Amino acid sequence: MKRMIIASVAVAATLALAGCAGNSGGTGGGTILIGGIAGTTGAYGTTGQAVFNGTQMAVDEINAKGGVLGKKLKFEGHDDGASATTSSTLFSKLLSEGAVAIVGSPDTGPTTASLSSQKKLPVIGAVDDGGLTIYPDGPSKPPFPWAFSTSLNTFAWGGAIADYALANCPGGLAVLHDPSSYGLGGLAGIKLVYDAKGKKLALEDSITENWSTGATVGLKSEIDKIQASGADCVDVWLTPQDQASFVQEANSLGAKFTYFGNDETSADSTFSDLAKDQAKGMISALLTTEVNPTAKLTAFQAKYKSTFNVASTPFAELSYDAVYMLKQAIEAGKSTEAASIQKQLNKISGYDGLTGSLSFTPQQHTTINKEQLTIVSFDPATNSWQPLK
Amino acid sequence: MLLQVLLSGLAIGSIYGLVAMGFAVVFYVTRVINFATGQLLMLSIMITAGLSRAGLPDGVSIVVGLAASAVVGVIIYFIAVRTVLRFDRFSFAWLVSTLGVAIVLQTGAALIWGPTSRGFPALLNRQTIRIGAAAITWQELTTIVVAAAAVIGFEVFRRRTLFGKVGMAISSDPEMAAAVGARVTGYAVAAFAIGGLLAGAAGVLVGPITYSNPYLGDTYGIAGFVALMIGGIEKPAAAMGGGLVLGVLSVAANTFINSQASDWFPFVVVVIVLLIAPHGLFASGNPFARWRSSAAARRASLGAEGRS
Amino acid sequence: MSALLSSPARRSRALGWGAIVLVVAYLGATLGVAHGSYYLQSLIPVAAVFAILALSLDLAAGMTGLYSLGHAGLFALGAYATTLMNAKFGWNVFVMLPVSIIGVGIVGIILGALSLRVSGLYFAIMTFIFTLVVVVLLSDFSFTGGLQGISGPILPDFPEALAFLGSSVVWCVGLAFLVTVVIVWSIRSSPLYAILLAIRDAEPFAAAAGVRTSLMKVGIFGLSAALAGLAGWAFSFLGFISPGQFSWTVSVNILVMVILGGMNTRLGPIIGAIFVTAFPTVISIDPLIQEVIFGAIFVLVIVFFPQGIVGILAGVVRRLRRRPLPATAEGTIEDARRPVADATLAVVEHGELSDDFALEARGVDFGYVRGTRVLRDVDMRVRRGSIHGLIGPNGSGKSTLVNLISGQLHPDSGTIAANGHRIERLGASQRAGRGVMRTFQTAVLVRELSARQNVGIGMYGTLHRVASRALLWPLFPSAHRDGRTLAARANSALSAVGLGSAWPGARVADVPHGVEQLIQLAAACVGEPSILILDEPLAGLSGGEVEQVSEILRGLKRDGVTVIVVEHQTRFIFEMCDEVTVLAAGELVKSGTAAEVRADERVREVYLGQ
Repeated sequence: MKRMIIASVAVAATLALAGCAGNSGGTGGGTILIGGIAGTTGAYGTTGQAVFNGTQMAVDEINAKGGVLGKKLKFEGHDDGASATTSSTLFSKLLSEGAVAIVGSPDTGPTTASLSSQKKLPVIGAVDDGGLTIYPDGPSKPPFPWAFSTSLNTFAWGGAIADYALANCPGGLAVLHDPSSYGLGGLAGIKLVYDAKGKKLALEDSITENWSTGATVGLKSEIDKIQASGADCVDVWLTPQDQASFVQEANSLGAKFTYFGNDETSADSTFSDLAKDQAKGMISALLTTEVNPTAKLTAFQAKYKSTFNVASTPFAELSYDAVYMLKQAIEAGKSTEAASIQKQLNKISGYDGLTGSLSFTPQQHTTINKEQLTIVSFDPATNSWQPLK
Repeated sequence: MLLQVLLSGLAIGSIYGLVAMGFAVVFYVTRVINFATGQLLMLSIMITAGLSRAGLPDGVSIVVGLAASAVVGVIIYFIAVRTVLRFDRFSFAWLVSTLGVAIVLQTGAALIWGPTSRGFPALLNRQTIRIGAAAITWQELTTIVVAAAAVIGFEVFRRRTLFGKVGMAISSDPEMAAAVGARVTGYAVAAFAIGGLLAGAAGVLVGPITYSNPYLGDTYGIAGFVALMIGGIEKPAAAMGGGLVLGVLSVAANTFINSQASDWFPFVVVVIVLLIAPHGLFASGNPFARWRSSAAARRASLGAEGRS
Repeated sequence: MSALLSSPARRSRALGWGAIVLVVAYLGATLGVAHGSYYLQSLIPVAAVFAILALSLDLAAGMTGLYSLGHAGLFALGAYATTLMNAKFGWNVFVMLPVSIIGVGIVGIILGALSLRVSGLYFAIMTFIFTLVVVVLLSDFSFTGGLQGISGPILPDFPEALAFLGSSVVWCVGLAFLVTVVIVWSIRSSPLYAILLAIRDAEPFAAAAGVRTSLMKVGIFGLSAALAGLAGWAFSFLGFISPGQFSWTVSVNILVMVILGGMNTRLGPIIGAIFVTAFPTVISIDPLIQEVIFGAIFVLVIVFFPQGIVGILAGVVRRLRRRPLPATAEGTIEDARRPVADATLAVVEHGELSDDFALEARGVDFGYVRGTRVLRDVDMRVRRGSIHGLIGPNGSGKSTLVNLISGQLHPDSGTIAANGHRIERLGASQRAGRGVMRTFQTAVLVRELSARQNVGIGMYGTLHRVASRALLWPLFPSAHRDGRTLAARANSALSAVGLGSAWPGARVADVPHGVEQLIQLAAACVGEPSILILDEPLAGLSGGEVEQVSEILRGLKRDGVTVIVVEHQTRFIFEMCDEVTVLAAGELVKSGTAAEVRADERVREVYLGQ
């Protein structure tokens, strides 16, 4: 009994002291803190790592040139393990340490976007790649006021693919997607284009998939349904693993479709490695700046490769852009106050970034739109994505 | 369409059934559920894929992958199960320890091979057979054949050898069994090795469509577990039956209800099964006779002097 | 540990001071966290919520043996109900507190009812499926926010006057935690604790003592679920809820917290919860390596310290204190040497036999499996105040008949009446209520409790409202009084069977077999039965212990208790019993006075001839 009391008192005293001690928080005199939340472990760990790498490169460059408003930038990135609970905890932690903005999260974007509104702290950069994460009520409604995404997003990709499909798929387009906001965002982007032209999709179906492993049951029955609908094109808005699996199953059933993907299909080599020769002809879209790199982008990619020993990905590039835009916003308002940063970000127009010409307005909080994309298709001979048309 | 549903369902159901058998064989002898069984499936996939990428012929990679699953299964017995059971036969501590092993295996695999999906040899997955309007790949056909062989093989092994008879004795009272000379450790090792082998086989068979990913253990572990519940935990053959039922029902739900039905439909089935026949559909014979005779068995065990 | 053990005024005063220190420490800690950094304010409340869940699971699994993997599902129901009702229908968050608790409690009662149909492992599996179903339902509907989840409700801040307290969310979670701790620890200190352990380890014993085990199990599971609902309510204020936070892995994690911390201990679940929650956030190394270490710790702790972290600490403390294990009394060594055959049995007066039959069984038929017959048309009449023997060769159906009389089984046909009332349709606990009590052939007591606590279980029927007062036990003055009475009566019951001095405090796991049998006897007697059935009470006893039992029987007869004894030792039967019934192959062979039966030809053939 006595042991227990002593133990409990010890724990309680520690908490009480920790509480009093840790009250201050806030930036140390001469630095500006930028927080980072992303999944650096797990299935999409490489994306998170790229986000942090790109951010760090921007921070180092800016500091080498004297920092922002005379202060150095400090970047503190944490792994959220794609867990909403961890993401919430990290958000609070970074806020308490005085972060002026948070980069991320590509995996728990819905959490960080939602918390940005609740805590009134700007969230920038790779905020998930679902359009619905930023525009929760749909593409024509206002976005989360404190979330500024420079990320690839489903509205852009959906729109670009839909444009191409309208012109090239006489039998119709079938869309298979997952039920999360990622899949629904892609669907919304596609339908925006189709509805504007008064056309309907041949089929739209949602399948649940396991995000890490992609292992899904029942692709064969989907293939049967799509064939029955008469569509000659299919947009498989799933993870790259399931896209490869779908193509494999469809081929084994003898189905002949033109396959479309999403932003993840061409973002890395997962799809092409898994599908191998069956990847031929898969159509996706890439940032036009990826297809025709500017000198600035090429220089960035070379420096990235030599610093981190892996090739750069768009997620690193857009994070880099986000930090520079943040810098611009701080300098324009001459303040690191959250409200000032928000106001200034909303005014940025035509910023020349690695991912294109980027702008924010109060109604538009995504910098990447379908106009900045080029349709590409996979060529196994060169093991690369080549522009179409 | 029905034929396609049946064929696809049996194919994926065979995978579930093999995993379920992996659970069941271990349970049969040691009364323990090895929570790392799904990870043993993953292990054979990762090793086979890794060796194949390194240039070894497919056949060799597969054999090494299967052996690895069996060996690691036995290691799990020694590290996480034997010591726990020695301390207290009735505690559920093995739940924590096998779960710990599952986490270590999964995360270890992610550290070694990376967390994203990588390729797996296509094996027999590229060639298809057509039966009417339905199609089935050679890989799927092989899967069904292997599953059937596993069940038949195990039943023969159980009836013809001492394993089956002694197995039941060991699981109900290891001290007594040891006292009459049964080599308890030996049987447990065999059980874990066979369980690992079954899970490993399932891995190699399903690899071509899942590719290799360290997190596959969770998905297929759960599926195998649900199959186990449907079929019956007491007999490995029943577990395979449960797997087949689960496979066919999932594909049917996807096809005839809607594409997301395979999320919830199997669970509705499991709940119904557990309410009508708590020991599984195939535990022995018709579910209703099972129910009545299980009530009688409960009374009988009360009558047996001492234990209740 | 129980407050009811030996409680002189000094002990209760020490407890009082302890409680005050704890309360002050608790208030200080909550205040500290409520003013602390945002980081502390996210981490500690999450740990506290999981501590609530771990405590609630320990109540169900650790104490009552109902292993549940459904607590994440119950947790989810509480969190989502609060969030959705507030977000979509504008319900006040404080109204949602009782709604969550009661609503989830009801779901728990339904699940608990399932536990009556299926045994331990299958029950765990059903609860596991329950969690899966809940998560799937939450993920597939956009009403619940789907896979993405929704923002939790905002808890209003303190009004101006109380603003010094700091963050209202911290106090809210802290109070929920405090309530849970009070409830669970109160139950541990009350007699209900012994009863729950009995339900877990020795259900027939509990039922025979009059405990309505089914009702208890369902009730405790409902309470456990209600606490999980409370945890869900509190959790919803911590920011964001999504189906992924309530998956089956969370259910398993909660069980892991309980086992890792130390099952069935006061602090174990709390320590386990803090460890599992804080580990990923506090240990910041490469996340993959950290997860490998996490998994490895599970394995190592459980393999080397099966009693969890609390077990490690207790071991360390014990080594520091060097506390000796309890010694056995010297008397038993002497007794053990005395052979049974030489035992001197107590003298019993076989006086006038009364005409009043305490127990009448007529035409009893029973078969375990339809079609077979274990008992065929058996009659047995036991006179009030007599000692009645029941003998027969192995397989004659003696134990079955005893089970039929005491309520573990129900006859296929025939009637059984005790004290004039028909009882064949009643359950075991109800028959105990009618004064029919029994002992079991292999003593099934709660091994980790003391002799006194086990005997206390036998008094369940005489204690008023144990269960309802258990939730706040230490706060009821009547409870303290009842606790002391319980202890005193248990002590005297044990003395009456010859187990005085150090025995009442000894753990049943540490005592020899013969003593266990005597404890069982004491537990049966203390409930003041009118009809007492002893099922092979002499099995494994030494000569001295057999003498003890014969003394006890003599005492019971003097007190007017009707005793039925099932035994193999015929000398004992024929010397002690007034009347004897003989069974063979499920049929009645002879029933009459001991002398008559002993002389009967058929009896000799059937039984003694073997």
